[in-house]
Amino acid sequence: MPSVLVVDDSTSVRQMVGFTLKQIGFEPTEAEDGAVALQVAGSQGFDLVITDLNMPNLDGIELIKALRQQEKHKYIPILMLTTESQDSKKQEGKAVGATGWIVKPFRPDQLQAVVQKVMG
Amino acid sequence: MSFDPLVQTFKDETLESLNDLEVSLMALESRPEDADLLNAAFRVMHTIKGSAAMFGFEQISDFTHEAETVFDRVRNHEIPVTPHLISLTLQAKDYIRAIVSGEGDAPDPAEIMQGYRALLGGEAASVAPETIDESSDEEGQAFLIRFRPEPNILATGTNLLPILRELADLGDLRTVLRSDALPTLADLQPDQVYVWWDFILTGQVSQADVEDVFMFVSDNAEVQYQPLEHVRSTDTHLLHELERLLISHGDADWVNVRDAVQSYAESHTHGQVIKDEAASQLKMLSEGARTSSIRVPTERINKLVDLVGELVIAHSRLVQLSSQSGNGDIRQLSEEMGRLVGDLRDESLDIRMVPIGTTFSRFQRLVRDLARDIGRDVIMETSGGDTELDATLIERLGDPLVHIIRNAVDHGIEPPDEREAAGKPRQGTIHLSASQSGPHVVITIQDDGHGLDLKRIREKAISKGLISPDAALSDKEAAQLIFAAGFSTADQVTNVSGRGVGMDVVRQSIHALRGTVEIDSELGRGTTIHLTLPLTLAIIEGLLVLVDDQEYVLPLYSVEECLEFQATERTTSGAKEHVRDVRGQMLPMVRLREWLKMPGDLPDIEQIVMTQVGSRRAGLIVDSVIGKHQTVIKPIGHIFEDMRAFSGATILGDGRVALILDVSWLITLAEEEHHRAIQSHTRELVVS
Repeated sequence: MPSVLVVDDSTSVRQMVGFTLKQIGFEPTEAEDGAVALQVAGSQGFDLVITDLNMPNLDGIELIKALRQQEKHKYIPILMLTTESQDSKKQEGKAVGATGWIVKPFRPDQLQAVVQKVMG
Repeated sequence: MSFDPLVQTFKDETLESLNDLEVSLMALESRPEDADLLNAAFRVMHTIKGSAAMFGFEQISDFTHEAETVFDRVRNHEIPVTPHLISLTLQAKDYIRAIVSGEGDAPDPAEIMQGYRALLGGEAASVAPETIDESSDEEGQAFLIRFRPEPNILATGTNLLPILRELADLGDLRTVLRSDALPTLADLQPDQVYVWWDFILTGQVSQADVEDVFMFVSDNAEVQYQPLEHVRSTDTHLLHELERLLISHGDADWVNVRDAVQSYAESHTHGQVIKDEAASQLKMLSEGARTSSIRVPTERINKLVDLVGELVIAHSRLVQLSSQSGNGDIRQLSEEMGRLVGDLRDESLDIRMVPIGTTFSRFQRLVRDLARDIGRDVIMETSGGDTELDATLIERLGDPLVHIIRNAVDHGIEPPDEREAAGKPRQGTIHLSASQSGPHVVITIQDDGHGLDLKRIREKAISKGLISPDAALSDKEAAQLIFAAGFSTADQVTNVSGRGVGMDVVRQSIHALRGTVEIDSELGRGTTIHLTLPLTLAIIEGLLVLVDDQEYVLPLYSVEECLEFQATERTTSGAKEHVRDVRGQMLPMVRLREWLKMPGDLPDIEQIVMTQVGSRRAGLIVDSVIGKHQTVIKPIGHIFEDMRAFSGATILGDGRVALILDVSWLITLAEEEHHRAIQSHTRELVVS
């Protein structure tokens, strides 16, 4: 079963993403901000990371940058959760190595479609 | 999927945030500049806006959008914190709470939103952009797509295969992999991408669908699209041809590939007349544009062919010396060189071979413009455009063809009214075709006009003194009269042609190319002109024959076989052999010795070389047949132009010159001799 790290400071969003991806066979792990996420990722390897961008402690962009430094997370898909108004963030994210993005609000099936798109 | 526990989480979360918001707002009243408080307020709105719709609260999503925008401006110090803003936001908070919890009275959202909008300077609310639903074309669309990822693309965690699969799911996908940039294994870095793809996709897809596939990678890859108009997924043949074109045309420059495919697709789907043109274009494109092709000036190629010709001559000298030397090694080497020289000859002549289709397509325009100028309705059809000829030959064919076609349009095709009255379609057709027949190319120009009026032609020829009044000319011969200099039956000299200098020049040009012109015509039905041309002007396989002590060359492709001719078989009635029974067929003969007026006795055994041009056959009697000879054709100069018997000369291995005989002319000679002999024989019978 592929593992996914879900990073977002909103509990409901984390749970929602986790729940939705469980439906398509993933095993989710949650982290409430970038720092916690990095810690978790240090001890465990993931096949997919989904992260919000606006978070306290360590925001999404910094998290992606750091993840790409880790050997085991160099080539995995990393998706950003963005909102409509965050177009520049998308570019920033891509520049540091993000694979793609999902725009909030999204429907569960949209999330699943994007994940399948990048996972193959 | 049961979201209820999740929705509950959302509700709890949101209500908690709203409480925090209230606290922040209260504090802002006394500390309106506090950045932390402002950020906190912004973040609440941002979070709720982002997630509300996911849990079924779409209406507060729009609502919180305004609030979020305002607070974004506030924390950037573009809008000041005022008691009005705070009370507005408290109301907003109440509204959200009421909706999310489902309890309590909700204040009027419209008022609150209006209040926010006013703060934003009355700007129209920025609405989340709607997804543009591009409904795909009902009949399906076709796209040429290039996807060329950056070598580093894997560093973004991008998985390439799913992209290809996603593309394939959109419809019918033809994929061409480009792997020219793959380095050797030693240089290969496994985390770099060296390959790329060109695709042809057909199906119920819109460009947006295709762009969607590449949405995440468009920053890290070259992605190009070209819709292919009018190409349907049912055009399997065309699609197959386009795929083949793509495969052979692996250019790194997108513009070249795109233009090649597009022009082929366009010419093919706007079909009518141009099927073969497209085929020859395809052939030209795919042959002329292989990945490592270079443009070479014609001059250089001609020079190369000339040098090859010289090499052939020098080699034949070598052959002679080597057979004289008796040295086995040298002879073997000479043979091997002969093979190489032969291959070199074939390849270099091949370089100059160009499909005639391009010349044909020049004429489309000509016909259209010409017809329009003189009030005719004519279309031109072509076939065999992919037939190849030597480029220099094609060049020199241009003018004669133009003239023939002009004639056809001007004098051949009748005006629409006249055609209709004759029961023909108003639109006339001129059909150009080319095909290869052995070492020749046959080009026909056929029109469905009113044909040659042979009676008028005969009359005109008589009046111009070209033939005597009682000359018995066959129809074919009469038709040939139009090639005579100064001949034209046009009563008016039209702008286009009809000056009477045209057709004879045409015939001369064709003869200069060692070709022949024949005319077939049926009054009322149309005229067909047949041009027979050699494939190449340069080098041919020849048969070397001996007459007395002189060698002559016969083009090998005109030679059927050689028969021995014993002295005892000669008829006793005279030295002239006019006809001979060869396997039941009576064939006219000509003895070259006699024709060339060589003195001396006939050898005991002669050879009859059976020759054929088209359907005409004759036997040429020579002293002996020497053998095959690679003949580099050298022109024999303008002085000898009227000597129709010789079509050129060549240089033999020992440096001497041998003349190349024009078989077609000799056959005519044999036929005429035969004809005369019959007439005189008949007269003899009558007399005696």
